[in-house]
Amino acid sequence: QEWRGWNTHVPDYPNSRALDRWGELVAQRTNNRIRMRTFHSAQLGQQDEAIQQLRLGAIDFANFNLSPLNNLVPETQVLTLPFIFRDVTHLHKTVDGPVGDELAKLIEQRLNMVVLSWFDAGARSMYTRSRPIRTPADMQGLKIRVQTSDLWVDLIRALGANATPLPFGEVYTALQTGVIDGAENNWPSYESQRHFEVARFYSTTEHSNVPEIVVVAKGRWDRLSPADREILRTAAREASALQRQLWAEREKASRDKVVAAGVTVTEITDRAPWAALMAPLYEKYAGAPSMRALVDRIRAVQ
Amino acid sequence: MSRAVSTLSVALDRLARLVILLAGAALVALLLITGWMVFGRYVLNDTPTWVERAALLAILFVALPVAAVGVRERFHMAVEIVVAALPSPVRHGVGIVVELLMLGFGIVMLAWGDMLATLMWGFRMPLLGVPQGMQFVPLVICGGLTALFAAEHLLRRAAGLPPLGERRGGQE
Amino acid sequence: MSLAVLFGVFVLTLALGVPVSFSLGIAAVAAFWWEGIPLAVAFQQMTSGMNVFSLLAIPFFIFAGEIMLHGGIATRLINLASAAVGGVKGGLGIVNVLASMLFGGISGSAVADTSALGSILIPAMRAKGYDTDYAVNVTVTSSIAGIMIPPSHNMILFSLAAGGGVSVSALFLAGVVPGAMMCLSLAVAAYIIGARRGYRADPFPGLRRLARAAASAFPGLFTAIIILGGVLGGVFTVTESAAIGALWAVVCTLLVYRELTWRGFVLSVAQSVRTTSVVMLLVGTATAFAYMLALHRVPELLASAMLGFSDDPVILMLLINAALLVLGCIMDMAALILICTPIFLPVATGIGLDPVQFGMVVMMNLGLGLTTPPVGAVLFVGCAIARVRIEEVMGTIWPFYAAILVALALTTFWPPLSLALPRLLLGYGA
Ligand code: NA
Ligand code: NA
Repeated sequence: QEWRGWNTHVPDYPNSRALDRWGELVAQRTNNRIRMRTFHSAQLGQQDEAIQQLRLGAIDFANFNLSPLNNLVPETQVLTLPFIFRDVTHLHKTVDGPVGDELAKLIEQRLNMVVLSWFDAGARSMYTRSRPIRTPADMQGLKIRVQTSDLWVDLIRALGANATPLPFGEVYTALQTGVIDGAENNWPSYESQRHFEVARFYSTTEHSNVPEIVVVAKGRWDRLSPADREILRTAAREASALQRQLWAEREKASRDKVVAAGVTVTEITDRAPWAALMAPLYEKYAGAPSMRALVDRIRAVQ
Repeated sequence: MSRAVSTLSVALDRLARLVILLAGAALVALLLITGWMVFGRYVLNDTPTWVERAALLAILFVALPVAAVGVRERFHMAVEIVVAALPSPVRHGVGIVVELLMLGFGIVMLAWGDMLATLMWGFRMPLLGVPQGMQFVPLVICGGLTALFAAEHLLRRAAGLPPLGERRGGQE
Repeated sequence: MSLAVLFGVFVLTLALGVPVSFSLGIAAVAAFWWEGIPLAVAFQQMTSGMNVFSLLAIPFFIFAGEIMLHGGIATRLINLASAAVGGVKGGLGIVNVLASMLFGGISGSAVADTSALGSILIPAMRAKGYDTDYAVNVTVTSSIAGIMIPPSHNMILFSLAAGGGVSVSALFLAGVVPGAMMCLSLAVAAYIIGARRGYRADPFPGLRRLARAAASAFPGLFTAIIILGGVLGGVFTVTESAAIGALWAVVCTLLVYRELTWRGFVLSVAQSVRTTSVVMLLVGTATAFAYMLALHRVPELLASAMLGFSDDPVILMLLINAALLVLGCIMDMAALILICTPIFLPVATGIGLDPVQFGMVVMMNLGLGLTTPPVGAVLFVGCAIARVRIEEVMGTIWPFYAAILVALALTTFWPPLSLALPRLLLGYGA
């Protein structure tokens, strides 16, 4: 059987290479009984559409970012909360542990997709076109591009900036011409989308670090033998390890590239004043006792 | 039969006008809220974040129902050189086949649009709060109206009434 | 096999006379069914294809064009053009070209350009002793300026079909020089033929009259300044600038010119939603159609087949141009942009062509297709206005086609023509 997969990234992206590797491993270990073909570069539509296609059975597996899932499975919002993770190791321990398993179970119940492993999407930071950001006060009144999501709008507003939702493809021109003063993203996007050419100040606010998931449609999954399931799951974990390694390399390469291109990097060392402004967000998005319990459990992961 | 179909056509004429009227009002509203977004960003330095999603949703409600009116008024662009070369009785038969195809497509659009709307109704749209299924409602309207107007063309043929609308040679 | 279903059903329904947008939709549904993919995905793709922010600019541009037509902006642009170049031999032909450039600089639609300017200029030219065929030929061919000179909703469709990676602002800027060059080429043709046929010229009305005409046209032209200045100066996004431009067109025709009546306004709105629905439905069903193409990797396969056939950029570009010209003769512009761009763009970039320059090649090519039989919306509108049959003007239109082909060749093989302006003003591709 041939499986169709969805992925938003270009073919040489860490995620894409890891998904291809996953397909190779599965084909090898099932003697080509399961052949997985990933359609990269969002050829089959944007993520919201891919989620629907997975539920309708048009595609069989995918690599999803967690933010667009927030509206579908609200519990996943805890992983999107700003400054929830101390560092990337904390993030890995959380998603690979009981908290990750519990969220995976919720996603499976609500959306009919089985979560097999977690990918990195990197810490996101602020970048601006006319002056560097050092403290939250520097954000005051700046027009910052956000993704179309309530939580992101509230995050930017909590920092005193003007949240401006804009399609990703329009960000470069908008930065260049000053429709917006800044945006926020990870190192690889900042570099590959060439935003660094027009927004020359990058401040390592690392305000959020949202992981991604690798999923299989539940309809497909349920028809697999237990042995095949084990093969898919193990191979997905191996692919995930590869993705995290490639991602770290890619982050460093992108950072080196933009620094060489003369971008001013402002290191933010004290994130406490930033995190302090996030209290209303935690109240709004994780105020319910069950959500608060999840937040506490994540914080307790060592 | 011919009288009954004429009466139906009068009713559908009103319906088509109503669709254009509502869509026109929505277009003007869209212009105004887009202007408001710019005003908000520059003058108030507070971008109304709901505008983008709302405008995207609204344009579906403008375009799709009016597209169905286009089936009635025949203002969609079509290639007619092949049909024009056919002898008149064949052309008549082809005309019926075309209307049947449109009728079928309208019903399929209605059914699957409804299915999508139901599938996504329980989830809310970010920044706007309305159900995500809402974006598929225009498909249901467009499918239903398309089927209705195609059926009207067929009924008028059956009743020997003159065809509605005149196909434009093209539309850029 | 499902590709055979896709193309077979498409061609068959198209030949039967099913509207293009419905043909695309019916073919997509048939192929989805054949392939065993839930039909819901076809309709989901239809909706998502229309759910793009930059597409919102299209109804606004269309509305601005309608308002210009009904509110007296078009007349003032013609007055300005005729005060400026009416004194040259074959003068009204050149006036016609210049008016198209000015009008095209606001409306962006070749059909609107032909119907707005043609309905005034064709009778005027006939009254001054110009032959009908000449009047129609000039009107029709010069209206392609509406597509080339920004803003242009077809460029927005191109950016969309290219996967959103091609900036609309860069496309807009890139169109200026090739568009102007095409008009210059047409003006030369109009001059030569006009002189040979001995058409009289009006005397130059004097600088004062010219200045007065310019002053009167300025508030209307300000619409273009808002739209382009807004986008290039970074004040607005494309969609916002289209909205502000349209709002200004209303204010201008209502309060400055005082020519926009309530009836004209209602007609403009009603016509705008109709045209919008035509374009949007095409975008939607073409997206469902393209999903099937992507699923079977048609663009990649075709690109590698073409690149395997020849690696000579000149031959490949001639091939693409020929294909677009032929398709443009038999099919509609918007549909062709949406279907052909994903297929030909990889080939073009594969031989080192810039996507923005390729966009200009596509625009001019398909624009020319609008003026050719058997399917040429602009030609039909032009002939309808002049109340002549197509055969009556086709015999003498060749020099004008040749003029456009010259411009097309330059646009295809001389990149700076398209790219110099976006490089200079936007730092494009630097
Ligand atoms: Na234009
Ligand atoms: Na003209």
